[in-house]
Amino acid sequence: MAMTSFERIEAATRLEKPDRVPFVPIIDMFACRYAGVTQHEMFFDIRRADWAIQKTMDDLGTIDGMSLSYGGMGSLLDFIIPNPPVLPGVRGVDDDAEWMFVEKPVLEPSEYREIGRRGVIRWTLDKTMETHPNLNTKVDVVKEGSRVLLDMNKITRSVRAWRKKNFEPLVAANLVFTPMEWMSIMLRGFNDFTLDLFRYPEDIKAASAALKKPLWWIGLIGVKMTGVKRVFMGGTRTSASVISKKQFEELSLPEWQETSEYFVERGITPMLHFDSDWTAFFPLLKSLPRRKCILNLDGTSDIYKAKEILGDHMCIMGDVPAALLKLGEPEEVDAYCEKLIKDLGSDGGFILSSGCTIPLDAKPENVKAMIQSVKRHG
Amino acid sequence: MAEKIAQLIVDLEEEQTVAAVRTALDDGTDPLVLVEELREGMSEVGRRFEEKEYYLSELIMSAEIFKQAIALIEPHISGGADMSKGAVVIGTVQGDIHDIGKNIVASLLRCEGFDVHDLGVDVAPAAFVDKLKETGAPVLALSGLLTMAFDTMKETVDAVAGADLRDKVRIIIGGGPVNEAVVEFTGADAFGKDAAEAVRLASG
Repeated sequence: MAMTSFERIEAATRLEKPDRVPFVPIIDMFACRYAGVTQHEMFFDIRRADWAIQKTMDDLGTIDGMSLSYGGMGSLLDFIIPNPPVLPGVRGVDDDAEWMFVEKPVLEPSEYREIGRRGVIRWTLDKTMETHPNLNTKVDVVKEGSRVLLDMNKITRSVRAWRKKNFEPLVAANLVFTPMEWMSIMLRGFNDFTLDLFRYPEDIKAASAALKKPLWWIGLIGVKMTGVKRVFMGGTRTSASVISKKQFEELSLPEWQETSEYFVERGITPMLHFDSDWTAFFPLLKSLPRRKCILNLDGTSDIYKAKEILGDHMCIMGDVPAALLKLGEPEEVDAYCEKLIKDLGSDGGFILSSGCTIPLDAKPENVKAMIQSVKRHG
Repeated sequence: MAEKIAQLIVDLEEEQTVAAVRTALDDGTDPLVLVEELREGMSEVGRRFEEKEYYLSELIMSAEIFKQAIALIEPHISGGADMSKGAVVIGTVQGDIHDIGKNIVASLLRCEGFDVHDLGVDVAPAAFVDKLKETGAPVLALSGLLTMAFDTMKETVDAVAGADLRDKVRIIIGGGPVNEAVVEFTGADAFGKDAAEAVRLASG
């Protein structure tokens, strides 16, 4: 008897061999473009996003689930980041534009220790009212916070509906950042934060200690609301594409260890969504909980090396590259997926996925080839 | 003294490098000798990066130290001295505002002695063409992280060709998902898989 999508994903996560390799991409940006739903609608109306995903599956084939989903997440993303990202249809941005983080420092190096002294929540609230273009008073924050809760409730309903259809939202809206990733992306910007690692490592450690629990709680609230016992832990700024091994071991690895352990202790699976090249750090990831994590790579890291070094330690997930999905031909996509499935999935512990997001301008025939590959080769 | 400065930048000693440059200038050391030593230090950092002894963060830190040191030296260089290795026009193409990679490449190009014209992000093809005409730069560096940027990279390459500049300008591209297939799609000349390679490509 065929496994359900949930069972298939869970078996792979435990490094067992499911009935076939599961396929769990980040699909909603592509699906919405494909189905004629704008990116703005995707971020702010989850029913439209869900409709687009269903239409895409009706046309191109069913899949086991989706990894990170942006559907209905617009208000949350706009709310929790003091320097909010560019979001489609918000503050003059085109309705069908692609969303992006903004690299603008909102924190001075002298403030690293201030975060802990004043308390993360109070510090963040004050910083948000100081820097956010729309949230300038406590009334604004309360109003927008209420809207976020309503939207989270809609996401929860969506998750439940998908699960009834044998479609697994892998991490739902359960977002977790490690403090260093959060500080680099949301507070300091890439260049300044990278320089700060040399200039103020002790101040960064102090800020990290203060930030870690509130950042975990965001993920935990997501788990409690959606019922999905996995969290998305995004990593890119602390990859081997950026920081040195010494910096990783001293500053970043302890955060990945502690954060993973926090969730594993609560029966929650960390899905490490690692963009950029982490290959040089793979041996160090053996210090993360064994058989409890999913390592999701984007096509930049050497996924075959990941299997070799970490294959008996964590589930490997990835990594069909965005450029291949946009510029390649279906035969090339199929060949890429077949190699992944056979080389990495033959003994289990592997989930096929897009390398990060399926680009919204991917060729539909390439997405179809990717969907069919697990049924053909898996 | 000069040799020590090269080593200080290799060791990423920010304050000590700047202090040593200041002292050397006060002592009357030829500023062009100091520039050469700083570049020697940067070359060693680049070698270590390529050998995977150094990571990107170390490359960025060394470029920051170099920038501070050069700012001290520049006022001491007479107007006649031309240190430029040539002009490069650089920017993130239209529809994309990601600038991390572009900024790193621009910074390293400056360290190498290029005259860098950074047009910023979300740059229209016509703006690149106008700047190429204005500067006569023989190198155009286009950056983008989104796959949609491939289309505007191609439009930019086409615009350069439409302005009869294609055979005079070497076009290099870069960004997270960029690979050889993107070079072929856009009609560019080459792509840099990292910042150091982009600088090498710009150097010809």
